[in-house]
Amino acid sequence: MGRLVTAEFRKVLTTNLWWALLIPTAVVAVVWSWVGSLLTTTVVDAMSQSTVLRRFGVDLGEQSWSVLFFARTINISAIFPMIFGALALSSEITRRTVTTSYLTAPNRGSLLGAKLITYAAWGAAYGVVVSGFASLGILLGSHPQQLPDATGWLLMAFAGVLSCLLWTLLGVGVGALLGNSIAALLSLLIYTLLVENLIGLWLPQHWPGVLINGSADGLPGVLASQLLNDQLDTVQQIRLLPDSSRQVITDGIQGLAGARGAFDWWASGLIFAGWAAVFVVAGWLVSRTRDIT
Amino acid sequence: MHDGSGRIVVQGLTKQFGPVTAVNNLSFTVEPGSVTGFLGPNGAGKTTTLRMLLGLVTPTAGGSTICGLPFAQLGNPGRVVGAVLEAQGFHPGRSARNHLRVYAAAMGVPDQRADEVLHLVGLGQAANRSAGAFSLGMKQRLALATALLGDPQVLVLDEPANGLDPEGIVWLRAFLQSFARSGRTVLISSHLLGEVEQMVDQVVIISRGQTAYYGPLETLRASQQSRVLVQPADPQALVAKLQESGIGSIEWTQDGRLAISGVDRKEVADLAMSSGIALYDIQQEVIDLEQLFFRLTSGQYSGAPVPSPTGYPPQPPGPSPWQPGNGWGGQG
Repeated sequence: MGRLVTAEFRKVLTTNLWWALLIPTAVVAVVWSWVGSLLTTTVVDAMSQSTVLRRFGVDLGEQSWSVLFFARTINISAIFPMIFGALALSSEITRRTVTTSYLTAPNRGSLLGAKLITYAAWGAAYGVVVSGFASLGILLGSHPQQLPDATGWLLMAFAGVLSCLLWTLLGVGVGALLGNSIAALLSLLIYTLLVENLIGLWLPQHWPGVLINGSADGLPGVLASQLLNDQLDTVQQIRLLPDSSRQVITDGIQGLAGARGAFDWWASGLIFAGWAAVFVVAGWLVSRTRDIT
Repeated sequence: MHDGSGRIVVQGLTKQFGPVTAVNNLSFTVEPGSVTGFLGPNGAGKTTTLRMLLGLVTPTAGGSTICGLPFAQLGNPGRVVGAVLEAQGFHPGRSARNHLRVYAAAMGVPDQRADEVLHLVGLGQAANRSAGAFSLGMKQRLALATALLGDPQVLVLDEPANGLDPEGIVWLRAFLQSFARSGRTVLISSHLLGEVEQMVDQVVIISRGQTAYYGPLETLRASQQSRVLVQPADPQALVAKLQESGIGSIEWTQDGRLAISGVDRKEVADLAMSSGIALYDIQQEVIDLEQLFFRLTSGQYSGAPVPSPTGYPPQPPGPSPWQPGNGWGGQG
């Protein structure tokens, strides 16, 4: 297995795809989080100055609002590691290099296993870049007092790495399942960017959380909204609100973090890992007997 | 662990692609120390057979072994068998050296082996060029370099001469013969017997997914028959004379000549001379291997008959002993 993992790393490093996808990943991450946190800051500033809130003495300028767009940035940037993973096996089939890969591997399962290990590492590396550039973006776009504390930042960065890693593995599975790079890319992009958003609109509370995007977005999204809600709870006037009103605020913030209807962040992570596992196993079963002609 | 013999055994191999039977109950053995030609017209099932042997296509029935084991159980297959297959891809942006280093890592051979095989196939100068810019002939050489990377005991080549220039073909021939002479196994497919005739010892000829001939090329060559076509002034008298001297296989051709098998031209001329029979025309006709191959494999995807003023291809002398089911096929 070690030999095949070395071979997979060489495959990645001797072609341009890894950096050709890493550049837009970094650009999207920094621009999305910058513009997003700028927008959030503007809105929060406007709200803080509203006469109603001032009359009640509510101060909303001291919470880490920037984590909302940290979460949204992770969700949108994870498209690139997903594409990277989707091409792992499917582009080898399309380019017919898979013939040589299968001829030099003990069996097809070990080749897919080596790809999963290699792409997990690459997915994590993409995640580090996403979390890093998202941090830069919120640093540029937010007031310093609206940035997360060290623990909050570490948790968000961890969610970014984990999310990108799982999206990459899910991509590897879909690519192995479909066996064609165009088909794998189109179905993944159309589903994640369009189909699930449409389905999600019609589903009742918590149902979006069991879907692929819904659970994936829940990992950083719920984490971010929990960080923010914990801080809002320290605001006396909010703590004194009736439960129903507080629930509205909680749900609203979770929606702003892009995770409407998602379960707790760790449960979302587990559900999404389950989806990745389903596609990896399906891809393994189908690629095991696929005729390479 | 494989037995290290280098023997390839194909037994009852069958592949059905939907309603199409690409390969039907094919059996043959390839012995180490020889170059075996795997011949048949395009679409006869050669590529499918080789891909089943290499574990790339799952057979519908039957099986095959290399060194006593199915491909999937070879462990580190790149060290046992190397293959040059049609439509074997290279990443267009990866250099030849990097391509080889990827697979050197996969089979656990040292990286310097990549440069060794590049020089071996004559691509030493092109090591840093992208495979996407390679000509067809250079791609074939790179495919061969990849096949040789693991220093395998068995080489399987599917139409390797495609795209090679004449110089490359001569080199390939010499290379494969020396490879086999060192006790290793070469199985090489082609749709042209002439292309591999000078390098193979054994042939497996398939037609419509079935074995049409399987055995040494020498046996096939020895069975080449020649016949003498004569136009005598008195055919009846010549036939009587020929029968008198024990020559029995005489036929009438469509244009009224006599076709005598198993004799040479001189013998017939002498006999006619001594009997006082005038000969207006005498010629010797040799069936070469290519025509024999054509006859063994004809029928599949044949086009409409083309009127042939020269009579090519020549009529075969009598019923052919090389049809399957006549005791010559490899499916006994």
